[in-house]
Amino acid sequence: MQVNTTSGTSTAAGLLSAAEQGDRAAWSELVDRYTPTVWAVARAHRLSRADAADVVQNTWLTLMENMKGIHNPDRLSAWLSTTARRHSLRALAARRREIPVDEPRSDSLVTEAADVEVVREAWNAALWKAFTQLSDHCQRVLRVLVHSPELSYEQVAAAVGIAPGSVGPTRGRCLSELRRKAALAGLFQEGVR
Amino acid sequence: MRRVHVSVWGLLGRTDRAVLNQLRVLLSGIDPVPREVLTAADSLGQRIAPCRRVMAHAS
Repeated sequence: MQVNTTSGTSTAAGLLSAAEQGDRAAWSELVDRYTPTVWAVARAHRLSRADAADVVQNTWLTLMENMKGIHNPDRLSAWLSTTARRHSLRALAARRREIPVDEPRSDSLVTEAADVEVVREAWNAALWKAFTQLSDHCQRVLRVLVHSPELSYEQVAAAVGIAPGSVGPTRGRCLSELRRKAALAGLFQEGVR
Repeated sequence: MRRVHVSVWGLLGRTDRAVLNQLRVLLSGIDPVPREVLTAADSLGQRIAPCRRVMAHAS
């Protein structure tokens, strides 16, 4: 089964079915489309880039081994998010056994971000500053949300590891806080942008 | 009764969507998926193809 992947309109179910039949283009499309979500879930768990890379690889391996077992292929994004969370938790548990908990993380995004071109633009710099001032919890939820527009409240909860009932209030509070902080810099006033 | 899938984004207002869209651009620039990570995941596809093709020829 070949799927036209060049248009970018193929469904997850179609791509999964084609990939399962050995269509390399379909597999590549799945990887391109969903790896940012898997990466975001891993990084939302505060894993280093090396550990997040392992989580991505293990998540795709798990999919490869369970292709026939995906009951609802249209919810592939949610399945990948939940699987990425499981692998992230395993990586965190392994790290806790290896590294004292008070050891500072070696790859702080805050310090690295100053060198990234997109942050040098004043508008983005203000938004980034506002984002980094949010709580870790807010940053985790928003990281997963921005890369996965199709996820439901239950699926976001499963990916981040919080109660489904708290996703709505958390989302509202965190976005409100982000808008408020960003508004101090003149961004995101209602009706603007 | 069939449950209706409602995405979180589907319930957001215009301003919140704008915030999240810009945040996505920002995070993709600051913390992009490394090219080698994509390449490694993509290369897993090679493991599927030969296996399935052998099965197809056998049947």
